[in-house]
Amino acid sequence: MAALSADEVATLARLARLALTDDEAAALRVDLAAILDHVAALAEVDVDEVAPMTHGGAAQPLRADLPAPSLPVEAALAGTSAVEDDQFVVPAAISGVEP
Amino acid sequence: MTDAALDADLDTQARWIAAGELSAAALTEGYLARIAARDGAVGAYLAVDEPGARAAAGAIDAARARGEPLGPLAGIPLGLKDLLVTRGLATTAASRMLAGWVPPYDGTAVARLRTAGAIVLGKLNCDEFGMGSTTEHSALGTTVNPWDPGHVPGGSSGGSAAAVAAGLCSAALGTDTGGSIRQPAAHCGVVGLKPTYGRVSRYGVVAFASSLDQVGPLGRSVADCARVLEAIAGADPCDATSSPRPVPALVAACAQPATGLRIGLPREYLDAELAPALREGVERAAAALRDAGATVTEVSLPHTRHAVAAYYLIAPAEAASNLARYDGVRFGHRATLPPGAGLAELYARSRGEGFGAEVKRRIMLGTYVLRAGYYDAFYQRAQRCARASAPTSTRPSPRSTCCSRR
Repeated sequence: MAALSADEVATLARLARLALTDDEAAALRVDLAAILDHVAALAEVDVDEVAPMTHGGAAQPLRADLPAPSLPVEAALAGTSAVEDDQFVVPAAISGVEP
Repeated sequence: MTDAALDADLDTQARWIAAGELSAAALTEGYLARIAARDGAVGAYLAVDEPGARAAAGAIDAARARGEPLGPLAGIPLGLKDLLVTRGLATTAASRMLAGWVPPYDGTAVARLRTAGAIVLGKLNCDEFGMGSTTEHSALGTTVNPWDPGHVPGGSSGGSAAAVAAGLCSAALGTDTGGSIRQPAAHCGVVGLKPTYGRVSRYGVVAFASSLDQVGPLGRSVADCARVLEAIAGADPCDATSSPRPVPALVAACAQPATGLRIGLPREYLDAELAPALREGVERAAAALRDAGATVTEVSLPHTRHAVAAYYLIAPAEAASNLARYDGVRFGHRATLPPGAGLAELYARSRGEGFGAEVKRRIMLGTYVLRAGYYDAFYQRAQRCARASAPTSTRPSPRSTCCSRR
């Protein structure tokens, strides 16, 4: 497979929320194409009668719906310094709007 | 502290501690001294928790002095791959993204080790988020193969395998998604086991590919691994995919003769690519098992040659989804933004700065194959092909791409 187009890599990076340098984007155009070439071999396997395997096949158990203690607010917020009034601080989600 | 005690098997160490012939404090100090002396050349540990290890060892010795019952790993000092979440002890996944993050809880496997009386010595290096097979993709340090520092230890649990091989802990925990316990164990000449999916809870394991991730032991012997696995295995309400089946008596099973065991030797694993020395090793092991009374039968796993391709779709797809949580908001690396930048830029810049090249490659590949219109052609087809198993490695430990560390 030829390298992916620069536009295609830019679209993927936007979907993946990854800011890439020009060098990184250029390398990924080649790397991703090589990997996709390699995995294309799976197309030759006849899987029409095979169910997808997700994990060991165990049933999905449900726990009892009972109240239980949760992580204290201070512990949940301890992973970042961008905290205000017991909440995480983020920049505006819509551009041009004052937070 | 004598080398005899530090290099003894877990059963011996546990018996000596229970009998008062060896204190947990002395054993812990012995490993801490070895780490101080040797780990500069190996690089297995990312962090050593001296105060935590000393406090835990002191508590075991005090409990014994009071005549309290001791757990099956009481006083046994272990190392943990830095993908296992530890309360109050930094957990990095060997990534700049999580450098300095101190978790507010213990993962289930870690909590069960502590309940069994184990001492946590520290956190062990690995490939970033478990993505790699040499430990060279760690963003936080270099680990070498203790048998020859010019070679890699394998990966991603390379720090765990190197620490066990260098005698820097009694045993260690690793995680395995596509060979990450088995392959470094092979490269470092120790025992490593990926348990059956669901045998060990994944709660509190930094997620890579959720349908494949498992926690497992690395140790100096099969019996040592059995002892650790027995302590961490079993159903867990915090992991809906953990198996409800009871945990068998694994330590006791190690004393059983091999008579009656049927062992399959997949012929696809012994193909032309296999290095002759490794083929001889497998054949020696098969002969030893036959001599011990087991039946060794050649079997065929015809889809073996597709296993890597299936893995290269399933694991990145699940990783792209799992690693979406690292967005710079709640924990982990947060980018400094220019004035006027919005939330989307916080996500993209934090992730662009925090993740290494291999992690970005897999997120991009996973994003590609999960796109609308591609899911059935790639991810679901790979899941249908995932009915084969793979060998750990077909070659001896490769030379490191860099010969010095740090």
